[in-house]
Amino acid sequence: MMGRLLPFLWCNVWRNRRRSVLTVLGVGVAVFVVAALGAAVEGMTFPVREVGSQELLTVREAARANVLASRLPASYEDRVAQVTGVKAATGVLSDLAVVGTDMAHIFVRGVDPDRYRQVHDIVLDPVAWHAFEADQNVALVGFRLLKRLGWRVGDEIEIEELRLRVRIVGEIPEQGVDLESHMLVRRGYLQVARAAEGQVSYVLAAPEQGYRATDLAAAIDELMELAPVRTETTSSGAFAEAVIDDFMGFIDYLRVMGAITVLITLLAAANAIAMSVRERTREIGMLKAIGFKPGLVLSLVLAESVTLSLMGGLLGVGAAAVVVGNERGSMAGLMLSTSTVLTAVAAALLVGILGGLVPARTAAKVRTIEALRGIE
Amino acid sequence: MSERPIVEARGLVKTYHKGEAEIRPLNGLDLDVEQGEFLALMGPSGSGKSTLLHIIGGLDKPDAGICRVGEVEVSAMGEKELCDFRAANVGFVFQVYNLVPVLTARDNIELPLRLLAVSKARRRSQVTTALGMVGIADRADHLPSELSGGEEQRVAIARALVTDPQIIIADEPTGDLDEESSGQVVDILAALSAEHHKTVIMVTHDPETAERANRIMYLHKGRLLDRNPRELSVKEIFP
Repeated sequence: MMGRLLPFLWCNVWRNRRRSVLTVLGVGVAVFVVAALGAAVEGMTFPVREVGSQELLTVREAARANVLASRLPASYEDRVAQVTGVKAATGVLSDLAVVGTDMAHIFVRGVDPDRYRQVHDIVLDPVAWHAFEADQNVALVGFRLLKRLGWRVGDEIEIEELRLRVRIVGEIPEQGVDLESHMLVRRGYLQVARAAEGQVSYVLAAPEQGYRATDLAAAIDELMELAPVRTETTSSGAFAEAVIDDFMGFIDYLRVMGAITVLITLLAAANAIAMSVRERTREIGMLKAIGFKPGLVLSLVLAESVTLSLMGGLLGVGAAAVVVGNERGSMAGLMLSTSTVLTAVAAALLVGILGGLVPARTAAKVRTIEALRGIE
Repeated sequence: MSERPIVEARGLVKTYHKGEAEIRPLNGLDLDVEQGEFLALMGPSGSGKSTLLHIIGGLDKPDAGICRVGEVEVSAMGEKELCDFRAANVGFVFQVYNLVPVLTARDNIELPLRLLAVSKARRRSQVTTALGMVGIADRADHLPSELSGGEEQRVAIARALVTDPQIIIADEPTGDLDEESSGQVVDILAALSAEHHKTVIMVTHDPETAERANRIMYLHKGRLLDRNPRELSVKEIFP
């Protein structure tokens, strides 16, 4: 039925051209605001979320605040690696020593070369790495540490405190992570030296793309709930997520502003449609006289309202796309995602349906005889 | 005519309450209208002419009595049935033409056919026929605002007859028109009856317009008389 009446519907939409244009523009502005606010929220949280997903998880013994005191069976690395969403996991035996005359603290990490590299994407000279893989009593040392202690690649050093005697086979160059001031040794070697065979301090795990660090941390701890040694997993992304939480108040504020904008437009659209219906009460009476049923009259008015608001919605989203751009980073700090676009269009649809509902019901209830006589 | 009347009303009663007062525009009214007849209803304002027209046209329902149009008893139908009945069987012509201002004359005439889900080809031919019957084919693509009052009313008549209804109901169709346009409109209504055998029931205040009908009925105290009550003697009114 509506299909055959589409030409009639379209004429009704443009009955009062100026008012229709203003209604479309009004909805358009509201949808633009919703899309732009959404883009700001997305832009604000995206960098943090992105970093968060690349962050590593640290699984250590529960209730051990100090990583050095934490001890887990080395076999946990396999169990952690099997958790859905974990790309790779490796056990690390960590220790601290004080060396030299200036009592420098050095962090020593005993790692399994193969697995460690799967988790930690370190920049390193392949020759140095190969040398590290090839021998047991060897070490890779961060360039900051080398500089500080005056060591050089090729030096044989002894750390009495840890009963370690290793040859430095490579330098860990600058790469923006704390490894720059660490010393990597072979895990098996350190385990023997520290009498910690089969044990690690913690398990490092790398999440797969698309998994939230906090979710994974919870999943890992849940899995280990009944294990001999309970774990506590944290992520460096947790810090970033805490930052987002701080932002949340502001983001909620933006969302409320968006909702208020939509509400105002809703009232304006409802008023415009209601005005349009009031103006043609007599005509609606005529339509009902010649056989238009109340349900059809209701549908026609509702369809008119939805058509106007959807046109506004497309206009608003289009404008937002032009201003924000849908490619990431096209405008500083803004990002228009599909879900934002859908939210904005849904807001327009909501305005159309809710704004049209009351006038449409009024139209459907028009009393034919009174309307024809010109009595309202 | 020996056929069964197309409209048959028996004992129609309609009562309104206006504050304390009770108004009874129809008080046991009887009426027969023959197929193809052009009937004029006259009477003072508020005498119930429009109420009677609305009951016959399926817009209103009597408080008592029976009204049959064609094969159906409209006084016993529900709202939705009445909608369908009106769409298929009744053509309405109003005093104010009530055209849709954003549709051309042609589209206004076509609207009831769209409602009845008539195919495009048939819509076109029926609209063309209707335009021809009211003699306004050359103005078909104009908007109502570009037409004169007489032309608008002729479009309204075309819209009323385009569905080939059983009856055409006209409520003071010449009330808003000048003498010349009035004449044209009544000519069309008379021709519909005389040449196309359409049943036309018209309410009018104008004796000259009424004269063109086959029969004039006067509404008086809720009943119909076939003579103007002003011409009746006191004895006839109060026997």
